[in-house]
Amino acid sequence: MRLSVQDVTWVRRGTRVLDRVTAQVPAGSITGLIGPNGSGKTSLLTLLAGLARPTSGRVLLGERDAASVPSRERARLVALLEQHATTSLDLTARQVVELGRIPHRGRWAGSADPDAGVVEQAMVAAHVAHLSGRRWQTLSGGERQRVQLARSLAQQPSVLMLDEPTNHLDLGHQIDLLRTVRRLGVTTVAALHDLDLAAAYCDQLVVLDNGGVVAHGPVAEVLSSPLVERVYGVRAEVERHAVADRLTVVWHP
Amino acid sequence: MLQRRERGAPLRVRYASGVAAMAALLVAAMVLALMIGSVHLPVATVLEVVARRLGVGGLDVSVLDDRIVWELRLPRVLGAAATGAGLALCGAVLQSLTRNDLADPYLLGISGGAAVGAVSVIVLGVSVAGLVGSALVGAGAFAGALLALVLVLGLAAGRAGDLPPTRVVLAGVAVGQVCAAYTSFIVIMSGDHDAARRVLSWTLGSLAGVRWTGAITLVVLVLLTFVLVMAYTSALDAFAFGETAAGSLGVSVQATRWTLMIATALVTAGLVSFTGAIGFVGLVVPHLVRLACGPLHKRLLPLSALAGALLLVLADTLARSLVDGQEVPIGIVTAVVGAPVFAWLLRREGRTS
Repeated sequence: MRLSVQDVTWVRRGTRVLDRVTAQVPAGSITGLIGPNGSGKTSLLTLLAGLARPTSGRVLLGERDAASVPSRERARLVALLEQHATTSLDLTARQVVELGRIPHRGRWAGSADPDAGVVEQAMVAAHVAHLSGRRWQTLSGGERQRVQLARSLAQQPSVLMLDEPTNHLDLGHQIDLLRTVRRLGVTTVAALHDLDLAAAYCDQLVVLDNGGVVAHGPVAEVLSSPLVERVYGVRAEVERHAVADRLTVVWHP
Repeated sequence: MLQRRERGAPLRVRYASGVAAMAALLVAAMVLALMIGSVHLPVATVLEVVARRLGVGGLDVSVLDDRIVWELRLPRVLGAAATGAGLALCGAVLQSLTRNDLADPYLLGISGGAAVGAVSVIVLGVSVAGLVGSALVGAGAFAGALLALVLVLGLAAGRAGDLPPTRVVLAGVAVGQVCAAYTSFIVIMSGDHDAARRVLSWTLGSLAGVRWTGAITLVVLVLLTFVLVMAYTSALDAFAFGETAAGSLGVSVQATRWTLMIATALVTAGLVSFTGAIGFVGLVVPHLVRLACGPLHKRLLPLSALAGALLLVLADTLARSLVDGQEVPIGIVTAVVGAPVFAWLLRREGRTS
């Protein structure tokens, strides 16, 4: 499912967090949202997930206005992996993943059994099947992140929103998570801090700074030394790595 | 049932047997409650009275036994069960909705407001004794609770129609303090010792005034509450990781919050107007049940209702039989009986985690 953001401005508690943002997300692609802290990445994900209405402009899920899709139906289309997921409740990893079935369940549904297969598959895909019976509170940060990814997958979404999904993950699990998402082939928008990871796994980038779009397009066209310097204030070289055959960012302190 | 859970089939069996065991305990406790009192009756007599009234035998029943069991004790026992179940349900729902472990049915200023209403009726000149008097006190309590609810919601609601739980809790505290100040002021200024006693005993709760009309009202109220909250089990589960997560799982966060907060507040106001403010049950029972069956609401709510009912039936039986010729306020019993159990379970949980 393709997404499009058309001239969106969002004023939140008196602050203009997004300013005339326009961007397209082609179906089946992975789009990286990059930009410094506070540049509006999470806000844009929130609007794309239909969890709030923009002050002006339109956010389209396919052909429909995201905020006007009924909430349960929307939750079957779009899953959101939040930056920080915390709970004080004593849930098992599997129970957390089962939360992802809520949008598919009727209000009076009896047992979760018909969904067991989906939950199983989601846990396998996110490499957390072995954590099934573990209690959430005993999981490491990285394990929690992957359990939440499994929860998102259990929603069987057409669109996946990932807010800094590789936080808390070691290098191996960072690569693993993005590779998993890549393999799913689901339309994905991911806010990322690591430009090398973004370059390796994204089809296109949307670069945000101070609530506005600075650059938007295929990775090779967008990611450049001047851009990194302009957006992050860091002198860097962006070059194609000879062996890996992808763009890498080398920064200078 | 209290063992830590494993995944898969054994869980469901254990949950089902847990429900069955609790239900059986509840029935046993109710029969016991019908036997115990100023006059002790054998179990056979109790069962015969009930059987005769239900038209299934028990022909050999004295008028006095019938009156004690059917007219005096049974409505009170049913009222206790319904009240306990209702308070536990409201507590469980509000704890999940606000993600606050200290939330209880009196969260929205209900007990403070109800006390203001009840005290005003008791002290400010209404000297009608007996059932009419207590009905007036009940009506005053209900009105006071509603007033406090409106105040708290008015303070807590945002301009955009949102209802942030932290602000609800703080508004509840603020309104509660004002109500407490008013209540104390009126009691002290009235200089009427008997009224002061009545006020104090009202704030600790009592089921002594519950007759058939009250009992049936309470049972119907709580059954309706149960049906309502069971329709929200998935939505409440979705709040486990906060409101953004709930929203992304397709829950209409604000609509759910408003509906359940107002519904639980109205139910609590209804319960309070019959029984006074019985503390502890709504706060602690859901925690106990979570330790036993986990936090998912499809199991938490039914078991909380049963456990709350059981606790209050037992507490009320103790309240009217502990001291000869006098009733101990039930709020004292629920705290004294419940707190050690809770402490024990907390320690038990502390050792296994």
